[in-house]
Amino acid sequence: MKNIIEVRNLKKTYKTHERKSGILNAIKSVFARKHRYDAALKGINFSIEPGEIVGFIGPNGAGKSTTIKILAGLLYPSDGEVQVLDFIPWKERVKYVQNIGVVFGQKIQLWWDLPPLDTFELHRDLYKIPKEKFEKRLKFMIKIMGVSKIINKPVRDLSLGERMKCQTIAALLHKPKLVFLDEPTIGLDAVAKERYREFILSTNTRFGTTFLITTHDMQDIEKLCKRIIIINDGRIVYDGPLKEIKEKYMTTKILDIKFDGRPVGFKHKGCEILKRGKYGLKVVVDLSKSKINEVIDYLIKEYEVVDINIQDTPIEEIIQRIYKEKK
Amino acid sequence: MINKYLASIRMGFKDMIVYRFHLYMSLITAPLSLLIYYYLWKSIYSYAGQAIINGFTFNALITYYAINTIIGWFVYSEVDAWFEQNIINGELIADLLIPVNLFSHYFLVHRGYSIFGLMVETIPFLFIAKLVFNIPIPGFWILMAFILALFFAVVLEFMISYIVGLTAFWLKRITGIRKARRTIVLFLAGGMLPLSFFPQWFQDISFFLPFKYIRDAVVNIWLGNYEIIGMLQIYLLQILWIGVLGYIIYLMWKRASKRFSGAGT
Repeated sequence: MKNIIEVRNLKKTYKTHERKSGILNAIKSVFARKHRYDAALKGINFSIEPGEIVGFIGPNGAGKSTTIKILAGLLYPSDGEVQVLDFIPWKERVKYVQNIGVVFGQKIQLWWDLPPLDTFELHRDLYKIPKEKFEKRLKFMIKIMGVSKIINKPVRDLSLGERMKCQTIAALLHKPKLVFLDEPTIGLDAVAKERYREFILSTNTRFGTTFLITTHDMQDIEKLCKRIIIINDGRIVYDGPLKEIKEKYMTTKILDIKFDGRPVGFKHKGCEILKRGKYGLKVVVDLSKSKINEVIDYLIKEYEVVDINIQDTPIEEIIQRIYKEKK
Repeated sequence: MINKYLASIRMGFKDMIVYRFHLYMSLITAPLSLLIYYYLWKSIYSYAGQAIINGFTFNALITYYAINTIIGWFVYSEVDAWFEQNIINGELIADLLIPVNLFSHYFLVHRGYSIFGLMVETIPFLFIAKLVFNIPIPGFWILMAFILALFFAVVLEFMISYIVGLTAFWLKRITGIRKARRTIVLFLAGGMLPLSFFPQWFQDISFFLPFKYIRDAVVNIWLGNYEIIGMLQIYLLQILWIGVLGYIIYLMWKRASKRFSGAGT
């Protein structure tokens, strides 16, 4: 099966200027600019097959958005090769973007003063979607996203979540084979997130649409992606099944416990106290040594527990661990 | 489903409807401006004691200002502000993700604005100008010649505005440059005063610059001050400048798109 995306040795260096704070430095910078080169991508390689849903994760500033923008044809790379759907994205932009859909969680992609419906109709005409197909597809997506009440309100009057849903509709109306989602569930409540994920899954199942999703939301990853690519500091540190990561690295959970009274002398197998507060404790549980419910049972039995919050090991920590291993 | 190009025009039209009150206000401000010019020049002509100053009769001069107002509405371009805003906030990417040529799309959206403006500003204003100030409406052929020149003028001003907008890729904040452009071009194009009022050397230089062909020459077609040869010369120069500016835009865009970081603040 031919790959839908091929990335080889992709590099991107941004040139910016540096300016220290203060009036004197501000004046100085008018005359003599100090340039700075930031290597956002230091040579990444990966391929994606049609029909995959791939999660693209990494800390802020790792290079996720840069990669997406290059794949979407918005940026020129500094070096390397990119092939998407038989196109070099930035070379034939107008032809190329007919085949992709892109949603940027932090950017506004709908006409601000007009209702989303107007942007949808614009897309219908720009992408040459036949009227009947358009109506059918629009009706379907409006129902799934639950936005029928707001598509006639000007975009400037919509909440972030409402706007995100409409932007997703706009990006998918022309049934692109490949979709890039950059933090798409931002601003959505839990129920909306669920429905959004289901929509992605069903689109993938029914039409074989390929998705590349960048997100900080681990639930998105869990529910959608079989494969994840982890990028850190401009380099890919992991590219493989999510299962492997979980088995190998998500070996700890963090318990955030609030007590009624002072937490005294808590000790349990596999537990390490991270932080001790006036009424609370933050504990790291090594899952290979103790099960979470064992620890919780013990806590509830022995102490007056007011609240327990269970957190996954933050992705940043996992990445640091993977990265350290790579060294 | 309509043609791709009509779609952009229609979107501009819809967008302008949102701002229609702003346009309705033009029907108050424009006649007021004209009134001021009317009384100012009336006193100048009466003080000068001659019927023609620098080739203009009083009525022709008032017509000059009225038609200039209309030209101003048609050539109005905010594409430089769009670039500034969208480069600074990174939202230019939204326009780069749709299957349109950026220049055409932006130009056609503006034409949507123009069509709405024609209905809501220009035609009512022409009525007022004719009834109150008695400005002449030319015959059919001269009107057609005017419209053709106006179209080229619109393209020219749009291209100048586009070029200014592209500098935002390098300079980011170009608010000052944008304001300066508007005023300077207005001045050099004869938007504040007909070019024939300026020293001869200035008029001579104006022949070689694009600005005259945005306003002064176009208004003078309306006034019937050109023979066919003169009009053809104007079209030729307009098309020539469109070619030159188009090439500049092509070169700038090549370099600008390589510089684009899509980050935004």
